[in-house]
Amino acid sequence: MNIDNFVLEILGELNFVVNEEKIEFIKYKTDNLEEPEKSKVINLIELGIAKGPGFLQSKHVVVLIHGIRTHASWQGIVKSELSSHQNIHVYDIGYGYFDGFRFWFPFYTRNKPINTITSKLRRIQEKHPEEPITVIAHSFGTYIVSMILERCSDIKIKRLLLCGSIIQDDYDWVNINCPSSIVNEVGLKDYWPVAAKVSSWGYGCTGSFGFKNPDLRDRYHDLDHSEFFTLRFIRQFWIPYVIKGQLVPSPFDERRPNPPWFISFVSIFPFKTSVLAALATISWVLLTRYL
Amino acid sequence: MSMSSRSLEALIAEFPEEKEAINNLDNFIKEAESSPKELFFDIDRLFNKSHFSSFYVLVDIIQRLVDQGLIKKIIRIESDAGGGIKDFDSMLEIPPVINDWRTGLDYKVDLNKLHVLYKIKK
Repeated sequence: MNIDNFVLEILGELNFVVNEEKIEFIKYKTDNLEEPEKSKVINLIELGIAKGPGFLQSKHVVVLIHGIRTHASWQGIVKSELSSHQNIHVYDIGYGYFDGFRFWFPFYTRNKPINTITSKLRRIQEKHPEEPITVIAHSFGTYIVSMILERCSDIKIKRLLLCGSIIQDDYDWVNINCPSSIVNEVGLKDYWPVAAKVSSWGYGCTGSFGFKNPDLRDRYHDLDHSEFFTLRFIRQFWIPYVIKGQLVPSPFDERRPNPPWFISFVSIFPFKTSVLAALATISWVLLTRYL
Repeated sequence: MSMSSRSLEALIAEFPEEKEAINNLDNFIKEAESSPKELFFDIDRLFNKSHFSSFYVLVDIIQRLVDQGLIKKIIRIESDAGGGIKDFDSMLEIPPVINDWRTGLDYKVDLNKLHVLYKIKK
């Protein structure tokens, strides 16, 4: 149940109820609720009556940035759920279809999506100069936002939520335009960040293993690359974070299993160096044979 | 009976952006506990003393403290003549008609005369 909207609805309806009947009206509206929601609703109604409903309404802007090879249907699910809260304004921004080659190639091709998202973030910031901005970034979207934080000191992000992160684990969060709060959702079954790291340059596997850095919070889940986008997950973990900066603990934070041995092996084995060395060796052999 | 260090740490871990405000609130509660008088505060006073980022967060934190038994929420009905008439634990306990001992009259409860206060438990 969306408690905020329910409370605001009741406070609005109370304006049309005669004084003598207001308490009975509140009892009637909350009769079917169970604890702990009932206590929470009553508390908020009491404060709403004493202070006016405005005290509940602090506005937030949320920006969703997707990954590659997708038009990100997950943004629709997340946007719909977050937008159902009266105080949250959601923007799902994109950079068009970004293919696997451009993702892999380490030079030049990554700049266009970074510039596109930078421009859109600036426009959102201009439209909402007073409201805190939370960015939720997935997969290649995490790489984009990390580059923006390095390059653009004018873009102010209050809260950053990463999932399927491919940011490198030694990313310098201190000497950049750092958000006030950063959460990295680690998918214990998410192997795509590992694949990104071993196949290309400039990427890391922090979405699979975490940053393990005191400047941000890793939160562990038994999920794969795209399993974050369920209503249950969004309501349990993301709504409290967006509205209150609340870091609801995950049950896997303390009892997370070790990753499969082959994933750990793949993440540290120097595949790129080995491939380059093999190619260099083959080239040298062919050159010496035929020249 | 201020927050134990463990519950303080847990609260800060869950609301890391509000670390300073949580510490401010804890210090304020400690000061209030040392007062010989019973002290009541409304949410504005708690907000101004702690400097949380929003009332919304403060409401959540206060509810934790109420659940831990550190503070007690009181719903006070005020008289038309000024001053409190009666305290309740919850709005749902308020009867439709209440005796205003300050004026000697029975009057139908006006929710505009409702004040939410918090008492620091000693």
